[in-house]
Amino acid sequence: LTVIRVVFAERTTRDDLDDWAHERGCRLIAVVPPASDRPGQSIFRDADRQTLVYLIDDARAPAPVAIVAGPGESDVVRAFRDRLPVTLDEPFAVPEGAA
Amino acid sequence: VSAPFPFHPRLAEHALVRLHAVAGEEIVVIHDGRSGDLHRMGSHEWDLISSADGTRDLDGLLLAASRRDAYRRASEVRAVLDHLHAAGLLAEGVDYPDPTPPVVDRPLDVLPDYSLTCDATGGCCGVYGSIVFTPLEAARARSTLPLVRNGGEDPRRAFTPERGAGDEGSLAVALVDNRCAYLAEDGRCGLHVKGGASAKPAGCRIYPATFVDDGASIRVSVGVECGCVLASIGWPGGAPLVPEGARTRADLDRGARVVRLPDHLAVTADRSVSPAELAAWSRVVLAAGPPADAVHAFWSLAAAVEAEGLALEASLRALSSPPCPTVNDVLPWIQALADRAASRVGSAASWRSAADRSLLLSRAIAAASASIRDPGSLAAALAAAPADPAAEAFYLRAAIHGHHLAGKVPLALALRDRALRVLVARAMGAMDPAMVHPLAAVEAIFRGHGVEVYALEVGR
Repeated sequence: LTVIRVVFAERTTRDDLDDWAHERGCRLIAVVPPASDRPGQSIFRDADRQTLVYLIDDARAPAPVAIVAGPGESDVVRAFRDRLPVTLDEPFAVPEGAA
Repeated sequence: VSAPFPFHPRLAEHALVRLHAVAGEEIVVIHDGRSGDLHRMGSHEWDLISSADGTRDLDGLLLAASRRDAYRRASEVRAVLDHLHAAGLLAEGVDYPDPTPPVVDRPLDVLPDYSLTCDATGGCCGVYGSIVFTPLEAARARSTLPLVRNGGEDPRRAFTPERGAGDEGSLAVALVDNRCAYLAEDGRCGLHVKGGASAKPAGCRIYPATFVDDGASIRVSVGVECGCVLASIGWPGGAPLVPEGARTRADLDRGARVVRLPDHLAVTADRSVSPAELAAWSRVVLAAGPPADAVHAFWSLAAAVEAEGLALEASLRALSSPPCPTVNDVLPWIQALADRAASRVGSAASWRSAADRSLLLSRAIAAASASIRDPGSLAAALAAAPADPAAEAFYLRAAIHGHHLAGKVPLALALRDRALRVLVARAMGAMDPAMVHPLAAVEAIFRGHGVEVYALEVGR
């Protein structure tokens, strides 16, 4: 499974990401608390109801990161770039067993 | 040291959330039942935190807000919760209410020679901050008039929890310019018109009867908080305070709220009595007959209680020819009351609409109190003859029979407070001769809007 990892400029805040999600019509559908083997995540579902956006809540990361997965990932990445300072978006192969 | 932020925030039981439509604008007001403070927010903020019933952590609240389509920013939810936490309005985890004490049946002791004729103009439906429905009554109201605030489809538009947050327990109806949302434009109860008296909440059907269990009987009286109560004096043929033939508590409407007197009742700061002693005292006071001047009678009784507790002879002596209180004795009371009333108006005027009856009455009370707060004006007010001695005497009779003076403050303070209420009502009548039964307005605002706490301030 391949997903897209989006890295934002350091100055990007959670409020910026929340505002983006609200304007796009993404709905918060789950909050995953951090654990020893994974960071905390806020999971939004895009308006197409199939594409998921995982906002990674990792204090150790130098900049905010989102993982986009689903049929509308290109649309979502484009929408991120239209509104927020994206520094990198790249396909990201989900490790075997983690999908 | 402030309490830590709760893991599972719950809007505390002393947080009274009320929906208001004020001149067309939707607002949510949280009354702090402990401090009397008031917190305003928009209906959006209420949507964010209305699931704070102690079953969810912050993440769960974010999700609950999202499901309600209210979520915008995580920081927004946290900010609202932080504000409530700083105000002492959040608690940790779920709440388990105290078990309901077993109901003991007792004979009813009903205020004699009285029945109520309601004028059906809805005056009392626009004065209070809370009009309470049981869940069943709310469901019936939403079914009877589903278009009222679209409550038939969305209960949250018409009701909030009576206390705290969550889906269980009694509900408070939304208020439109402080009028019950179900009150029709013509002042009649929309629920009553559409569905008959049984469509109304029990509290409204029973209002303004009061029920107090003193251990020997249930004293049934009437709260003098509506002009109809005083207009009904001497007019037989109205509705009885209890159903025809009712003899004991078991005969009362299930919705009747019976208040049980505590085992120890403060009569002064350092003296308390049993409910039986209070009941005996009240019978003696009532047997003394109606006073010529209720201000003199209340004040004189207070002095007797302060000096000799509930000694019956002392109270009878106090009532036999009660002297006029001195200006110096009353002055600190009226000044404290005037300050409290002005403060109440300042707070209410910041958000209530100009059409809000509670604001109009609060203003009248503040103005009347201010008009007699200087020694000269107060002396003249104390020397003036009562404008409506029959109404004032009835007020004393209803309060004493109904044990209305027991509980919140020591009895002696409550008696002095009642003297002040009568005095202020007289001043209201003098300022606005067209005002009908100002004493009822004073009673409603004092109890319903927290003005009565001034007595505690003077007592300290």
